[in-house]
Amino acid sequence: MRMLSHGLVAPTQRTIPDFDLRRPLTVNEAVAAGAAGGSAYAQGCTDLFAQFREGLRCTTLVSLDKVAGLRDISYDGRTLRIGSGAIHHEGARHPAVVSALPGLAAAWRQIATHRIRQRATIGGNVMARRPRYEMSIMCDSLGAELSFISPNGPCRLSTADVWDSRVPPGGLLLSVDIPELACAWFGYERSLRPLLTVAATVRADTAGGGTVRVSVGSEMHRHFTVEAPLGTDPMDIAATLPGEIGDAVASARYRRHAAGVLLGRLLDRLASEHASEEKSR
Amino acid sequence: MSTPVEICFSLDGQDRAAAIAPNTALIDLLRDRFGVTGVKASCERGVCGACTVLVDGTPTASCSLFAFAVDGARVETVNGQGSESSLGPVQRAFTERGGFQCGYCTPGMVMLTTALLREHPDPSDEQIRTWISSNICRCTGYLMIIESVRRAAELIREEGHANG
Repeated sequence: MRMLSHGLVAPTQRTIPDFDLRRPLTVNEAVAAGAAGGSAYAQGCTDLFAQFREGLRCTTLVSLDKVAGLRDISYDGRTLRIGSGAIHHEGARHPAVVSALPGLAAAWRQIATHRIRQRATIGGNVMARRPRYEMSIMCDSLGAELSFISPNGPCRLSTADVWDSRVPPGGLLLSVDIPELACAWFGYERSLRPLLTVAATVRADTAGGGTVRVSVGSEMHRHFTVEAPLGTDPMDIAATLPGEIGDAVASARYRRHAAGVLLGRLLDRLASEHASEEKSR
Repeated sequence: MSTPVEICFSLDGQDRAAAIAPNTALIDLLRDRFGVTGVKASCERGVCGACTVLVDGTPTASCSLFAFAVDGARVETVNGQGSESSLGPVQRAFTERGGFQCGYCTPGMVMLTTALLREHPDPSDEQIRTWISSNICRCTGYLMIIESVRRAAELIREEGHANG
């Protein structure tokens, strides 16, 4: 605490190390600035501040707020591209998201709090790699490809790659690209948080088959993803989740069972939506 | 020592300019430099919302935003909502309905309510709960806070305040 003329104040700045500020206007300028060791990218700053409070050392902060195009969202009928700087509040209501994946739009509207949704970005959420953040669970279920650019050029990674620390040094996340959406459905169940969160993506093929890709997370550890042919019993799909899904809070047996139940509800919802569509035709 | 950043912004309707270190958090600029001690520091991780201010109308945790980011922006704090002798409608609603106990979360709640009522002048209970759940009242007096938000909406309608 410090005594100033207007009273006692708590100088929070003390906990944030001094850094050089760069405010690039283009992606190339941003990557050039981010190539230096000890640099960090900043967009919404919601999680970055938490990292600073936890001891992040950063000598160069590359603010992305003036870089054009990072907040863009588009859908071409097959792939939904979400710019890494898209703010949750805007992304969840964007016509392209609502049109391509209404289930994702609905799920996206539920994460965090209203105030945080108005400031935080999808890129910050994914790159933070915190189990309690939810966009990684959704992105992995959707089979999203993360488009990066680094000083060595562009690259595409999976959500799991990010969790496994495979992002190249100085890599800047440009967009989250969700492919093969022509016949895709997405559902999300977070009613058992913090114990369990289930995201399910169903992709149907022209032969009447398809796949179900399920990601199961919790607030305690990273999520796990399994895939099975469409029509597989939800409990059987959940049974293939690895043993690591259990922890001191809930056993693997419990989490597999609960995940199976929630997945069953999601697939029932999909069937019900299909039935309603058939009826309205 | 890094190069200071020059910023200009509107603070509760007054034009302000400052040369700041890049690592200055907005809350420190407001409290240390401009004496806006109505903005309260608490969790300092953007979670509790005691430090909520409005940046271009958007409720924002000032502990989790660098001050350089408000260059050219309009910043509103609880200090600009009224004075000791003339409280604003949201502040009066909170006093009428006992929307605080220890009072530490109140500045953030007042600013959150101000933003809510600009977007939804006649909010539903669900909208009030959705917005107010962004901030934490450690005394857990949420029922009175929700009643205060309803009362603030009434006062603004009755008195014809522009609320921003």
